[in-house]
Parts: sequence; structure tokens; C-alpha cells
Amino acid sequence: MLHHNLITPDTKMADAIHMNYLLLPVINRFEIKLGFGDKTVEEVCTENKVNLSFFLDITNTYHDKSYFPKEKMRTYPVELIIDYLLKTHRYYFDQLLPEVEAMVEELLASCPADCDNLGLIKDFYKKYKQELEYHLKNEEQKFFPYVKALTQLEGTGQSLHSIRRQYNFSYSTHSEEHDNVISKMLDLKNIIIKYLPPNYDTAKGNNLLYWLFVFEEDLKDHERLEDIILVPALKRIEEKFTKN
Amino acid sequence: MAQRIVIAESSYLMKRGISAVISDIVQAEIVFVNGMDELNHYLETNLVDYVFVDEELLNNREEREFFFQLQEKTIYIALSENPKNFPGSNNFFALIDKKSPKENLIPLLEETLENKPYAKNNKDSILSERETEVLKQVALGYTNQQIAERLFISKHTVISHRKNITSKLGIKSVSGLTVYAVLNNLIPKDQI
Repeated sequence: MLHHNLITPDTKMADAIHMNYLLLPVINRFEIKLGFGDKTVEEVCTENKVNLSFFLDITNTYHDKSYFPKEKMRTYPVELIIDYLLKTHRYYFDQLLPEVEAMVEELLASCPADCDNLGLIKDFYKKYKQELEYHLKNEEQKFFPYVKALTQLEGTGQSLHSIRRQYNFSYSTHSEEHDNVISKMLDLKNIIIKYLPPNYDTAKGNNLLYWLFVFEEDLKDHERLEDIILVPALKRIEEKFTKN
Repeated sequence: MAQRIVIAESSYLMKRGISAVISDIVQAEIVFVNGMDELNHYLETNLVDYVFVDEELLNNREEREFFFQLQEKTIYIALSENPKNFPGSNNFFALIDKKSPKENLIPLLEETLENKPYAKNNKDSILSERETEVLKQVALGYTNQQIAERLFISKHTVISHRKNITSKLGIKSVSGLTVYAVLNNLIPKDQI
């Protein structure tokens, strides 16, 4: 497969957004805002002190699902990746989760009568929101600090075992939580697409569904970075220390 | 309906060849990918009926496991130079010897390509009576073991019903299935 349509250092930042407007929240995570004029991606990155190559890989993997230069991405410092992931969490916490919740509430409020069934969808979303928040907080409190501690382990005299105990991080729980987060989002979309009771407001229903699609794409990208880049990096460091 | 087929094979001659042979047998939309990374990413966002993979691309164990987790219904077929030495062929529906003569190759491909996983599924997406029964029990919060005891079937059968339910409805989680069950009046709302 050829990647014709990738963003390069010479692409105008404005053109990158024309190519794929879903990149907007992604570039915001690099503290880059609209109003680029005719500046190229490289110019905007230099101005904002952003690692150009990392920026290109993140935006291109987001833009083109078949593009994922795994080996190259594994060479970035984990702090850089974690910083990006944390910004993504903020986007979920501060924007997507509350906004989607408001959309679910609005959908329910638009229902004239017999709204019990729509209420079920609201309950499902509320529960999902709690689970996702729990998962994200877990990552912030256990997973990311554990990764950081491991990368700084050398020379501290601390053992792998003690760090592991300190952060109490489990690969299997982490990966189960990922599966759960992704598959419930798919469930929610399917319940709405296939089985939504007819007493709802079309515009509000469509709006909710649109944002669920956006949310899902973002989540998948987020999980992919963790599962394919961060977790193997972690395992490599662990192996190194078990051998010594 | 055309079969959706992906071919992951490095040799240009091989991939043109296999795609020509497939096109003689079924109506197919064929996509070529180079290497496992591209294959994985293609499978993440596209529903595929068949994947033909060159065994030489399957040397890395980690990648092999990852790619098999992606799509349950997709049928995987290995292309091998030396099928006798092919490792871990359990995940593959069929193993095709690249050197096999036409009279062996064509019947094997015909048999393989007649499975049509997605096409078959689309026609038959209504739950059977037994599946509906299992779904109700799931929605009421029973575990696989409990459902097996209550319906006098084996746990294995429960699991296989649940797989079919998920693939027909597109809903996997217990809470999602519960919402479905209430929306469709299979169980009363006050029972959840």
C-alpha cells in the first residue's frame, strides 16, 4: 500500500486540516492553535517547540489508519509519548465525556412520552463514562508512573520488584480494560444505530452518534499507541532488568 | 456479493498469480498489503472475508498472535513453500502449498472460498429461540455456568450461543445485551 496522502514537513498546516479536520483536537494536544496563515508544518512545530518527527508520526497515524511506523515510533522517549497520552486524557475528561453526556441528556429531554427506553441508553452511557474515567485514572496513577519509574530505574539501586509493587500495575488488567472500553463503545453505537426506540429527536440522535464515532476513533488511536508502542517498550526494559 | 479478500504476499508474481486464480473462482474485491503492519492496520478498519498470508511474513510470534485477535469471522489461509515444516497452523483454515499443481489447488480454493463468513451472516441475523433464551439469562445477570445449569446445556454450548448472539446483534458486553433485551421486551425493566 502506498501512502500518497501523508502530511510532510512542507505541507501547509492549513492544508493538513483541510485534508482531515479530525486532526484539530490532535494538534491541540501539541498546544498548537488555529490561525496558521500559510506556515508549513515544520514552521509551526519549530515556533511551538514541538518535536517535528513525533508530530508527523502522530498526525499521520491518526490520519491514515494503515500508516503505523512501529519501529520508528518505538524510538521516541517514553516521556514524549506519555505527555501526548496525558493530553489526550484531558481532552476526554474535559471535553468529550461531559459533552457526550450532555448530548445524551438532550436526547432524553427531547423525548415527548414513554421515555423509559431512552433512559436505558442514558444509564448505559453513564456507567460507561464511569468505567472509562476509572480506566484513565488508573493509567495516570499506575501505568504512566510505572513506565516513567522504569525508564529511570538504572542507577537508583531499586529493584524491579519493588517498583512493580509500588505501582501495582498489571498487564492483564490493563489490556482487559482496553478491550472493555473499546467493545462497550461499539455496543453503544450499535444499540443506537440498530435498536434506538423511535421516540427521539433526529438531529439530537444524529449528533450524539456522530460524536460517538469521533470518540471511538480517538480511543482506538490512543489504545493503539499504548498497546503497540508503550507496552512493548515496558516489557523490553523489564527484561533487561530481570537478566541483570 | 463480492468476497472481500486481502493478500499479504511479498512476491509480485505470486500475488498477481493468486489474485488471478481467485478471480476465476469467485467475484472478489482484492487488496494487496505489504507486510504484517499493513495487514494489521487494514484489518482494524475493514471487514474482510479472507486473508491470504505468505508464511514468510509470519516469523514473528508476537505479531502472529496480534493479527489473529483482530477479526473473528475472517478466514485465514497460509501460503507456504514448504507446508510440511509450517509451524503452528492451527489458526489457519487452510494451508496452500505454493508448489501444488492446478488439479489440487483449484478444488482446495473453491472449497475454502465457499464459506463466505460475512455474506452468510447477513442473511441470518435473527436470533434463534435458543439464543433468545440464552440472551435473556445473560441480561438477567447469570454467569455462563449458571445459564448452563438453568437451561440444561453444557457451558461450552452457552459460550457458543453467546458468540453467535454477539455476532448477530453487534453487542458484546453484558450491560449492552441487557439494554437490547429490555428494548425488545425480552425481559421487564424492573428485573435488571
